[in-house]
Amino acid sequence: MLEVHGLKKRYGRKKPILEGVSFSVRPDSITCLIGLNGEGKSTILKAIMGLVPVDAGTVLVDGEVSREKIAFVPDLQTMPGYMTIGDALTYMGDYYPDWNPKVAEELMGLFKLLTTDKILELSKGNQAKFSLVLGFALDRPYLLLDEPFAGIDLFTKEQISWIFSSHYMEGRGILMTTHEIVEIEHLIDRVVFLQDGRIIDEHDTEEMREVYGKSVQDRMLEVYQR
Amino acid sequence: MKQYLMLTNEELKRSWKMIVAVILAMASIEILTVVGRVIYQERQVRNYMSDAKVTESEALRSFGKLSFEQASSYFSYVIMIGIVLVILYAIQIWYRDWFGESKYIYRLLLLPGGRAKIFFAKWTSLALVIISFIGLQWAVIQLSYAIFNWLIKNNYRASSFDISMTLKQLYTMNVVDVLILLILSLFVVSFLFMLVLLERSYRKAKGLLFIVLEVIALLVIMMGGMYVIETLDIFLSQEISGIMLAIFVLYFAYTIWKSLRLLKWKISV
Amino acid sequence: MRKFKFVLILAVVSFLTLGIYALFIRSIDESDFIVETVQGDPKQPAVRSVQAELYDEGLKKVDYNVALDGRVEKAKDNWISGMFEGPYNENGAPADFRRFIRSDYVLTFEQQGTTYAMGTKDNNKWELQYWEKGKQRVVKKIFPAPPEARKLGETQLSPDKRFGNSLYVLAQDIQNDSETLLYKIDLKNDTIQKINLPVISKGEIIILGIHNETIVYYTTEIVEGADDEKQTLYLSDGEKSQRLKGLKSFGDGETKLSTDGTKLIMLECEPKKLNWTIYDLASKKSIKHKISIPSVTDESGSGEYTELKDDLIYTANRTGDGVFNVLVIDALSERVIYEGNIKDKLKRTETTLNSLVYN
Repeated sequence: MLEVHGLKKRYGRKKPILEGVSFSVRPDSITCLIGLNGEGKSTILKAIMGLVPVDAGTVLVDGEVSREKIAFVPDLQTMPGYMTIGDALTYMGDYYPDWNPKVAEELMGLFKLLTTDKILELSKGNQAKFSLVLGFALDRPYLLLDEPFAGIDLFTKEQISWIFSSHYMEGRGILMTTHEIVEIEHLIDRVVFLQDGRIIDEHDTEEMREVYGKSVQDRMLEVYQR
Repeated sequence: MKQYLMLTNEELKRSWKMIVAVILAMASIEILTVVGRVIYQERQVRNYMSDAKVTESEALRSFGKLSFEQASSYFSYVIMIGIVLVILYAIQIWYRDWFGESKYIYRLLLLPGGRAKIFFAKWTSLALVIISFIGLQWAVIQLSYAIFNWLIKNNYRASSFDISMTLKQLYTMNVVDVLILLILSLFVVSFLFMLVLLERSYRKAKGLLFIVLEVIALLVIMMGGMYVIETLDIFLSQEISGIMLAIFVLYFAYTIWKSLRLLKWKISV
Repeated sequence: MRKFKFVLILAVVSFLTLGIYALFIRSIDESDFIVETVQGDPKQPAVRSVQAELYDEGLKKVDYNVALDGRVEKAKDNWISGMFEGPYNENGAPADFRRFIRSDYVLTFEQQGTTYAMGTKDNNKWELQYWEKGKQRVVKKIFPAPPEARKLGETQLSPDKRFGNSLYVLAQDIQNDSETLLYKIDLKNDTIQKINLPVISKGEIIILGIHNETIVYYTTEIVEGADDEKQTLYLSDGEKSQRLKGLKSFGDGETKLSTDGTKLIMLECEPKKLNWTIYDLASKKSIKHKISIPSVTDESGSGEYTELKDDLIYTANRTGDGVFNVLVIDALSERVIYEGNIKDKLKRTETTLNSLVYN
């Protein structure tokens, strides 16, 4: 279980961005963090990965304070500009003991990416797919995705959505932030609603549908209209 | 250890074209200035000979011969430019990971294991560049001396190998001094690294504030230390040297410690 | 290996280029000194301890100490050793002696390898410490201040000269412009005795020599209205002083009292010539001596060092590229007791003569 406890973050004397955010991500499930733009979703993911400092709060993975069980797929490119896909894959293999080159190769084939392509010359869609490869090819039980569907075309969205119902999901707990609820609603197991730096609501999507008869989108409108 | 070396290699790889270009440019400029000076002197002597209608030896006597020390007098300017470029490199080596089409800083901070290797990879890159510059500059001095000798006419040349006073400050003919020069350079690099990391860890005004505070702290330590030593007036000169050396070592260690701390706890993408 | 390609390239470049530098440094010539004795025995006591200090002014800064029996000591500095070099008068002394001589109220004087330091903080006690380098020991003494000295204001004690077991000290009140007092400190019996110094003027006093009761000194006074300083030479027998007239320049160091106290030896250095005058204090007669020296100064005009010590004139002069002639002459008899040539086999012009030292 990936547990987030009491994350707090403020910038100077302005309103705090995170005011005690706590939630958890279960293994073998997809949790979606939902909130309006600029509310701190991205910040939460980065805080979990230690990419931004927090004023308070802890992150536990199966009871331990360790980031080495979480993989992160950010919404921008992180490999040096000159690198080709092949260079990047070699890089990952060099530095990560839990890098799985076989999975990488399979996904590359599925996504139709070439090792000779220069990363920054790829289309946005292909860049997004490549980022996913970097995340999924790490044998880690938890995977964080920051806006994996942002600004990409429908066709690529479908390709990416496919992966979330494939065998590559086995044994993984996923936490993602996204705006494209509609497309992936059928995949999400749990939603966490973030507003004003706090978690205001958390539901299992199935429970929501069966018990309350609401879709995630319905719930979202409800929540954010208050 | 292996990752640290790979990261160092990666840093150098990214800057390689720039490094080679700067080395070639500096070397070419220096050699060209030597060639230029030789040709210039020759031309001046010729002009003087025809203007004043004197023989070559008379012209040389009034004009003076050209020594390598004079011919290489522009080298100190090129070296100063080199120093500025190294300082810029020390700053750019960090900032390039935040700015640009990709943010490599994410990748670095997400690497497994501790973050100290990120710092020391960049640090080592600077160290290697600095030592190479020091060594290559000497090689260029020797090379231009050979070119100088080959190019200049025998009777136009004054005295034997000598270099300018400024160059002699750097090249003291003592290998220990090269080591000391490197240590001093790395101190400056570490201090700059600390300031950059401060800026990258705190937003805008707060970052600048901390930078100013650190600079003030350094000045206070230096001036304050000297003031205290002078006022107390109980130390022998060797003891003062020892104290200053100790303060230097401690502060050097502080800049590295602080940088590592910032990188571990306070850095922000 | 390929993963470290650029690291290796720079490492190799650094190693090679610094190697070139190191090889170049080694290839720079260092002077190779031998000593040729022309006359006299370099092992005789007056000559044995003499060393010529030579500095290499070339690319590689080396200091050479050449003894007249041929032994050469070389020293090279780097930035760190330069930082830790002590002031010249510390002379290898232990830390507490060095701290003592640093104090504002302490003045030092060196003679024959011993550094004498004296001072008084409150005019009640006089502190004397001296460091004998040869014996590697510091001797500390404290004396109650002599009665008449207690009445002075802020007092500066200058250890002036030592003759035998007596150290002569000048006490001067630097607050009030009163006269200078001369004291003789017996280092064996630990006594202080005031020496009557019949001083005619109130100017600065420089003692040229003391032998028993005979004191030869001169005073320096600023002449009112002119830029000049008037120097007057006196001979005192402890009771009265008489002016010595008719003698030209008598600077401290170049004018000394002979060891038997009967004559004044006055050196005059001119290019290529060494002149000195022996003035008999009793008969008031002067005898002039001179020796010509084929010195050839170097580009900066230096290359000459002369000193009068124990009635002997020690003079070292550059006579050619890397050649330094050393003469030790008995001032009273004009006899050359030693002459030698320090020669650099490589005939380097960069090595210059700094001084002669006696270790």
